[in-house]
Amino acid sequence: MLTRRQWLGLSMTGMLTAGIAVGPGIFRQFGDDKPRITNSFRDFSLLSHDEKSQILTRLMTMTNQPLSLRMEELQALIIKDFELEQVYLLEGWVVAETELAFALLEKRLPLP
Amino acid sequence: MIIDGNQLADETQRHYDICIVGSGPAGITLARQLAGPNCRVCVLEAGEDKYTESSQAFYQGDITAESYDDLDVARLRLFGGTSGHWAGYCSTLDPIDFSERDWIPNSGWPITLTDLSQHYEKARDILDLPDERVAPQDTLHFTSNAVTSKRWAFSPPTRFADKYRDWFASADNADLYLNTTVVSFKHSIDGRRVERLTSLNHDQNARSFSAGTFILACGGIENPRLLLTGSPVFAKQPGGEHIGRYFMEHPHFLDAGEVALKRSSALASYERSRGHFLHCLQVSPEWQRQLKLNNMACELRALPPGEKLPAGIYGASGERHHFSLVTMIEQTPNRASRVTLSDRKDANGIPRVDLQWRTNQGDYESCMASLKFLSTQLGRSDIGRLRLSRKTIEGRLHELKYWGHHHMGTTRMSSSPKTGVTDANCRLHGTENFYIAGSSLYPTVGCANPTFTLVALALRLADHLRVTPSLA
Repeated sequence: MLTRRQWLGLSMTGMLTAGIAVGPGIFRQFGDDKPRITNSFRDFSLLSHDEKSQILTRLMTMTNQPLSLRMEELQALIIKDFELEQVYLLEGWVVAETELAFALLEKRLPLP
Repeated sequence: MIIDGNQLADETQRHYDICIVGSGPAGITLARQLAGPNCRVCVLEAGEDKYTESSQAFYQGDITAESYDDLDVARLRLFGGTSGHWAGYCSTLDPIDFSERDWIPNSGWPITLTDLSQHYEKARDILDLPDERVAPQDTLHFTSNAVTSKRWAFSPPTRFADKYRDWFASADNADLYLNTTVVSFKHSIDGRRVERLTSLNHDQNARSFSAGTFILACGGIENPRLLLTGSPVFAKQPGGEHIGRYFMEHPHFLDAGEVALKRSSALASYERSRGHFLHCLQVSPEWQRQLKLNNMACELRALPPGEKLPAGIYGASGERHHFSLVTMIEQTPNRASRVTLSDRKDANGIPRVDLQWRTNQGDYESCMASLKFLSTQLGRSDIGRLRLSRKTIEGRLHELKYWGHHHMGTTRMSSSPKTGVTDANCRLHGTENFYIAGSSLYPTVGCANPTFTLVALALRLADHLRVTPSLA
């Protein structure tokens, strides 16, 4: 689970510029044996703290992968998320789970 | 010849081979196709050559179910009919629109798109459509076949009165009667043939017209009105119980959502201002079947630079191209949605119309599911992102509903009188010489504006009548 410092310290831009790693193994790590947020098409504002934390945990796991993240790879991850139908509403925008995670970080939302 | 019914002193009954009631796109198309040395045609138009308030007032009616525009502004009562104010959107119905779909009750035409294909081609000239060979290809490249691009072509738009006034004025075998309001029909004793009709002019002087064949081409509201008021026989004939029922519109949603696209180059074929064609987004027929969706089309209309994508959405930096979504959906046929008669009467003493338009909750749910599907496909193909409006998210799409002044379904075509009013050749079930033309024939309405199809159907009806024993 993310610490408050991690919540506040991360941003997508920061991760990208720091070369934080992301790899393709994420989807295996978050297979059916892991708790997933399956209620697709849910409004971001309706997500519980636990659900937000799950999404962020997933993103944090991504950042622990050994490969450097490139924009193309990130794009592929997002598209893959759409294929998995893990879509959410963020201020009305229909976004992938990956995008939602980045948005959470970008907004630097405090933990309750 | 063009004859003003108000100046018609001769009271003798007039006889024609074909008598067409209504001078809109369907009526004029039929007259031009059928008039010839061996076929004298008359077209009876209740209105005048130009718009007048006094004529238009005959179209006032009641609206007693879902809200709608006043009926005297939703159509035109004059030479050329509603072509006097149509916008010119032309697209064919899709093959799936003609099929019986188990998830859409009362769906299925007795004909297929193939039966109309050659007539659509011919209708292009009538409606002055641009050459298809110069139509742009779809410029949004989806990575799957889940989304298709439906193409519209634009008529100038053709005003039928302006285009064909001279033709009527000089025609040897076609007479256009203005100020000639049809009020009743006289059947043969066995009820199988209509022998003559009676009309009134502005001074309520009656005139009588007999014909071998009659065609009613007054639009989706007046067609059932005339059948219900013109003779008690129509409603008692096989299929008569369906007259006026299944009224359909194309519910439009002007603010169901917006789209942000990543590349301006992708938009060329989706911006009407750039040419005579327009592409709209549509869930593919395969996925309509799989997800059990009604047909739907989404037009993209450019928005001024405005609200940016939320922080964190991939690709949110840099220029984005924002569009509002204008969504037009297929309404499920609903027997309780109907045109019936009001207690109020017009100046001729004929009951006015009572429009009871009733949409279905399933139509809105289908629209919501389609928008969600389009959203995910936009994301998968990395073309852009879709944002749903607050009312859409909250399941209040019906509050955004508008309409297109598309009046359809009220004399639906069917293979059996158990399910409709006319047969596949537009002939009233149970009659030998009475036909219907226009969008009132549509059993289902797809997501294409109705004029192109109703002209194609009129051309098909003309071909049919040319080979019927009485005219061949």
